[in-house]
Amino acid sequence: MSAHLSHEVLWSLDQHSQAEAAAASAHLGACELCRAALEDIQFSKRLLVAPGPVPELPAASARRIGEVLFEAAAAQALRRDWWRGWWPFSFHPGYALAGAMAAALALAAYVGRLPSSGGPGPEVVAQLTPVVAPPAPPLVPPEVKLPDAPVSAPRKLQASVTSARSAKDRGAALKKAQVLEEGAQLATARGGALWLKLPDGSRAGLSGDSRVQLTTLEERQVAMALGSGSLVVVAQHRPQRTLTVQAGELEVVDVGTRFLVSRDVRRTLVAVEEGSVEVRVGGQRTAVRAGQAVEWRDGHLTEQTWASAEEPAPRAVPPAPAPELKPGDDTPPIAPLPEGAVRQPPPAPAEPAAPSLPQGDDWSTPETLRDVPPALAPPVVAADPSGATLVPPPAPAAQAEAESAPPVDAPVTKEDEAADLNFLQKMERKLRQVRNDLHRQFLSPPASVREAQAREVSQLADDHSCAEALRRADSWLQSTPSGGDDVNHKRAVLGAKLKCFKHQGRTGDADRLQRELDGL
Amino acid sequence: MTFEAQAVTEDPLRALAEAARDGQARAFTQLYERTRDYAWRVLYRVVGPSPDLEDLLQESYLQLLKALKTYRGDARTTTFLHRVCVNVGLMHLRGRRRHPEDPTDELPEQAAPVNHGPERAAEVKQAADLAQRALAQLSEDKAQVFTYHELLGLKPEEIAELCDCPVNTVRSRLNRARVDFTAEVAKLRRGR
Repeated sequence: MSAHLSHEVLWSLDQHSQAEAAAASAHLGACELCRAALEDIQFSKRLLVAPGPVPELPAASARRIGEVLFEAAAAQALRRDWWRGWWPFSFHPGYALAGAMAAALALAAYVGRLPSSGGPGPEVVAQLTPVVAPPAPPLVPPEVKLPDAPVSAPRKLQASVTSARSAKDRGAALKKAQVLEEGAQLATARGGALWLKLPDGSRAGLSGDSRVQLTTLEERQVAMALGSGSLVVVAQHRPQRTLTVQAGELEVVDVGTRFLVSRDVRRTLVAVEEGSVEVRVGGQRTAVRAGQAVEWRDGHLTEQTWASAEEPAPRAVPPAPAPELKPGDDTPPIAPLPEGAVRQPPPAPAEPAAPSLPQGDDWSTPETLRDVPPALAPPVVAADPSGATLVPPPAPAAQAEAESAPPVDAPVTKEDEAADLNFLQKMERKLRQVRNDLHRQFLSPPASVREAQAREVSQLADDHSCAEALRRADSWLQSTPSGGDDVNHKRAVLGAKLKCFKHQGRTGDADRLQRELDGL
Repeated sequence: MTFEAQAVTEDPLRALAEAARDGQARAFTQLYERTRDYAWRVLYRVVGPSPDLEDLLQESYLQLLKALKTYRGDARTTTFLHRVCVNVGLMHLRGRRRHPEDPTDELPEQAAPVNHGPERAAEVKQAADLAQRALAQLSEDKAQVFTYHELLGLKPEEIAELCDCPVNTVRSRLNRARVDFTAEVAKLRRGR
């Protein structure tokens, strides 16, 4: 029997000439080892056969990724190396500088070691000079020159995961108590949830199908960038640090509150459950208070109403005693009202600098957030029947503590976790309702518009502008209203897609689409 | 003018890649829009039907954005992207090998391949899973060459350009990769 067939021959058996194949099959008929090897190879090759046509990248995901990439590219452009303008080479000038510094240091060290040329070295001088005791120095404490305070970069802090369900950081699954560094890119799958403890003690909850990046974690600044989805923040106000959430063009600055930022392709919603936030966009600053929400869409900020967990209007303070705080309570204690408490006029309905906003849709739903745990309830604010608000003077100790409060290291209790999850679920339900309303309102244009859009898609396909035609066709098909479209329009759009697939040589996709068309 | 040089000068994406390298975010977005379907297909062939495909696509472009800093225009942009996508896909498979119990891998985010019944979809998933586990066991060089040839259908000459190595090296590496892959598949098959 001839030698065994090599692996290479067996792998490409179907590509050999007739004579070679005949010789190989003759050997295979007689050799059991080679037959077994061939069976393994054939099994391996079967695994590599393409698993059907490649599914299309969902249009919504493509848009979302495009937005994320645009932001990343813009951020990178901002961080561009300052020396690129005058240094045309790919070689980094820092290397040259480092080399020059090293040479200078080496030279300095070498010169410092050389004995002076005018006389003998220090050891020789020690031998020749008689030893004379030096006069005792006066007992004066030496003047200690304190070094200047180092100007260092802000200290980087860390966040930690308090609970995670189907959540990832750059593709790696997150676990409870995992520590997160600045720059972490967090994402939750559909149905997932993630709660974080930020370095200043605030908490942030990410609902399902959402993405956020921890852009800054410093003592004086905590910043997050919401890519998509919804983020709930339970923040403690600290004057010495700023907490911001960037959502596209919108920047939300915490002023001591619980608030939600939700973002999708078309709009961004900021809703305040408690306290207030400042929304900054295009140089404009708008204060949003408890029970209010603003929506950013098509370059316009519109005020919305939002049913908060607690009544946003001021309430009367019980005469005594002062409310007790439970362990883990976030809110500072309010001192009982002293005699002659400061009487202030009621706050203006909006900040003087805030632009007046048109009243828009009602975001509230029948489902309100009444059962939010007391740990998250707002501080009680006094009011009298005349409408004037009584603001108790803050206790000096409490005020000082609030102004210079260190980062909170208190552990998040199980009760906190349960309350957080409960809170997030309620906000998710509320948002879902709002999204459904929006979908009906904005994603389903009138039939005449959809018909015109379908015609445009067909025209683009006829002009062989296939990329644009496919993009618009996907968008059109995705926004099909629940009531259904005219079948002829749908057929026209699918036909345009089919034409593009054929033009691009995507026969597999074309066959699949043809079957779909036949079924219509 | 050599064939390679001619191909590079005819690269329709070169202007976009250079503008993106020079800090124009809009150019990078346009580059993404014009190449995303291609990158998506490459990733799908490497990773198979996975819930992480969208994340991997995003990661590939973020890697491309970083890599563009060193882009000098001496290779086609799609070649650049191809290499990045394959590396990101292979890194993902290796990551899964290290964390096989990752529960989020089973998230039903990504639908099963279209036009497949549940049984066929399960078979496809099983086959893809087995192939990926075997692929993840190969060394980096072999896995790259094997992926380019067996999964993406590139010729040895094209792979040589991608890997920046001689064609004969590609051929011998491919042969060794096939031997290793077959052995890994056999091991996994019998070990189950």
